[in-house]
Amino acid sequence: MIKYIIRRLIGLIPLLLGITVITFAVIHLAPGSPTDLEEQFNPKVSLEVRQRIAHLYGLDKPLHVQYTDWLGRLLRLDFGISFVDSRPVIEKIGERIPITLGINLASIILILLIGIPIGVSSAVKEGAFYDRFMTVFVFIGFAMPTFWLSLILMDLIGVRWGLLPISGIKSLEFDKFSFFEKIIDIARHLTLPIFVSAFGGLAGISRYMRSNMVHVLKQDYIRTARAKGLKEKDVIYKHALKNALLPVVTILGLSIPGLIGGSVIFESIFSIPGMGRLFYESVMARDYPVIMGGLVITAILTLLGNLLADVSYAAVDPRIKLE
Amino acid sequence: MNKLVFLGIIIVSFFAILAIFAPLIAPYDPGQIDIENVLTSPSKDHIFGTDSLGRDLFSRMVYGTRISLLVGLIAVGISAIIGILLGSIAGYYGRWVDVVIMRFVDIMLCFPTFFLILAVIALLEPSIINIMVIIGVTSWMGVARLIRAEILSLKERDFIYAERAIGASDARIISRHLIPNAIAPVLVSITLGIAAAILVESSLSFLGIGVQPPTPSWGNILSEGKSVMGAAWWMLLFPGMAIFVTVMGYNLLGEGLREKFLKT
Amino acid sequence: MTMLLEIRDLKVNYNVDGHPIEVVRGLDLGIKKGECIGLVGESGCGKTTVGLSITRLIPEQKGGIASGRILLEDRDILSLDSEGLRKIRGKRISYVFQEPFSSLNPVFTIYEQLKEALPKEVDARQSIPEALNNVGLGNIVGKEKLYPHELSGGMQQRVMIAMAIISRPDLLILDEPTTALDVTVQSQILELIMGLKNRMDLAILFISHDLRIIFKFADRVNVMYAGRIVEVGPKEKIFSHRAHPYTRGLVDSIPSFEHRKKRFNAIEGRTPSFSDLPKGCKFHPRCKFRVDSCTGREPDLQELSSGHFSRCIRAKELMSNGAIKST
Repeated sequence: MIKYIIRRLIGLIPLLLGITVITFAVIHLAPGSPTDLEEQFNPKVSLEVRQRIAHLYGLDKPLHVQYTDWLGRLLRLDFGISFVDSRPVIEKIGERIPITLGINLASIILILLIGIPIGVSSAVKEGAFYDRFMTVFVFIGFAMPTFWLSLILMDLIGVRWGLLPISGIKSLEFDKFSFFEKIIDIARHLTLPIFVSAFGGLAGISRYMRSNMVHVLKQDYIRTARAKGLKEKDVIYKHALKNALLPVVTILGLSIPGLIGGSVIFESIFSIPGMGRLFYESVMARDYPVIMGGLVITAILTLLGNLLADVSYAAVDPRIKLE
Repeated sequence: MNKLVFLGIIIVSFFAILAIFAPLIAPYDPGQIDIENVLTSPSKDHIFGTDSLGRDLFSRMVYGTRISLLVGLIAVGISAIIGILLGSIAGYYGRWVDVVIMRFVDIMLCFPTFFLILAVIALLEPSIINIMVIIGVTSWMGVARLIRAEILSLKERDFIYAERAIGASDARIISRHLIPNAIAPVLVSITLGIAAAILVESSLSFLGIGVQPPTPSWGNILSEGKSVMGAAWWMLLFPGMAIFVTVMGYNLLGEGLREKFLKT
Repeated sequence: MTMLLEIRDLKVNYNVDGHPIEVVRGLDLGIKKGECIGLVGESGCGKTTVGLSITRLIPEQKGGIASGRILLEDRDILSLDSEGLRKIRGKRISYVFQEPFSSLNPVFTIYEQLKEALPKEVDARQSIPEALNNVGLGNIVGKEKLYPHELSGGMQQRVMIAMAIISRPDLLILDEPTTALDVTVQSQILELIMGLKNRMDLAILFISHDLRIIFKFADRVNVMYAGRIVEVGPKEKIFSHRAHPYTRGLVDSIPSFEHRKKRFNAIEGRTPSFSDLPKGCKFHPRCKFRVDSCTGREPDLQELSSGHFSRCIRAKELMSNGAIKST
């Protein structure tokens, strides 16, 4: 197992290189060059000043030199300094990622807890009214734009009914709270974002679970289990479920890119200080070091997520032997 | 025919009609400002109410349909062309061409799509054309993989050998024989892709980096709705509803196509 | 000897595109204690359906038993509730299916799957090695943590057999148990089954399309065509008399080295589809011996001699070999 992981990690190197190339290309080859922005902010800035800024950031060197410089710094984990507040990029990203990942983890747990039972019961009652009702419900979940859902919930629950806070992750009086009250406060703030984040994913998981389960229930070994005289309960929840659940194990790892991307919207709406909102703000402010750092780091997280998915699948399915 | 698919077709056609015949359907000019009637709730004169500049919401939404559908169709068209091209080349020629192209696909798939789109949009001014191109250029990977898989299985079939035996060129084999046969799963992907593209465009417009006002887009109307939250529920309800129903329509259609192709 | 299992006038439907189609159309079958009964017919004649119906293993969406009675030692088991049915499955009536690989759950060990077949009171640590030894798998005793995919096809089938007999059932239903196995392994498995039958006094319902196997192991043979039995009797009588044209066709089509025929004797025509069965005798379109009255009413089984029945109206003529004119 360890050898497999190491081998996979080594195999990631060309991909990582590719990621850096694409990131660099996207930023530097697109029509708007980093210094154009400076000009937009300050049209009166003279050519001389612009040239000095360009030199400061190394923007006057030929592209391939810029790339290798940047790559070199990346390897030393130096992602540069933010244009906006001159803080190290890695620090800014580092304090935001845990929040985003935390919210996403919570919503994945919610998705699994609710989605799996829905999928299983829909499969067992295949064709019945319950199944068809759930299918409709699932389609609604797929189609629902998260930002609309966020706004509606914000309006109803936050503004009109005042049940839950709608902004940030802590209240103003946070520091005065006891430990227990702090936990509740954070939980209340995160309820809506987690719910919104989970809503669409719920549809996906229950659909996936349902089709796995339906497929499994048609297999010969289910017939054998019944022929042996097992209780129907055991046939479904022991024999069928374990087989159907196997691929779901990979979901955790594979949903990372989707969740990180989706976090941009609800973090902006709910003013959560997470990775999504940081990226959005950096994009608006043309803060290139943060943008590039964000792209690279989230791509790496995606790769690790895929690796996690493969390893977890191999861990639970006895038929898979890692080569 | 499946009831749900039928519903999908109705929804898609409905919005298509709205988009095509917008000038005939919209009662007001979408850009017509009316300071007297700022933020009025739905009434006889304005069935969806008015926005913060007194413009008729219903008319703006009808014209917004044009934007959404235009962006959806063209963005997906671009991604389909790129995807089909790269996927069929990779599948047909195999070996190192395949490896290089598929590695490229893998790398592109590492980035959260929305992040990539944001990053590029940041560098260009948000115009409708830029949005369409960017969405297209960041969502072709799925199509590429699908086409490649189909072509890999098709190219060993006898009728392809026959074509080669009579001296047909690669381009002809790919375009006349392989692609038409491989197209079925791609159609499903394209239909669902339109739904996704519409969602992305509205998200971008909502965040302020998509379609810019005064051009009406469902997304930027929602954005306005956010700033007047609590005071004008119609600004939140109708545009969101429109996006939701349209996306649902394309999803139903796509799922229906998928069921149909599975059976054949 | 008393009847262990008696099937009376069984009718089973399958749901095809929403309509029920009768696939087993009034079947009678009897099995005595310790007897080995063969049920033979081409693929698609309904023989597997008969086997599955005995303990109602056909999924509801696929179809179900329309009418008839199945008596296990004079008790009608078709009217049992699910709890009662469970007590019979695996404990009094067990199955061995055709594909051992897909019939074993891939994510549980052999040990776990064998243990499930045991009643709670029985000590698994003793019974499982004993069962494995009984099926010739003595070499994996102690390695029961193995998963099905780690065993060969023959070994998997032995595990299936072990699972079937570990609770000492009265009746073992075998549905093409060796068809999916290599030829060399086939006879080993068959010898194993017959050995177990003799030692444990098991009754067996052996379902197969392969006449040679049936003739070797069965005591009585039921020949099935288009959902009904067309001939039944002790195997010697079936083999020598062949009192139904279909049986005749089946026996004649067994390829054999001794006869040195230049052609295979295939039966002309094709099995009819259940939604479009011919009138009268279902075999008549393919039959060399048909006469006009074959298209009228479907014949009943008539007794030709003790325990030997046939559904052909010309059966008696057929039995006097050679004296019959084909039409």
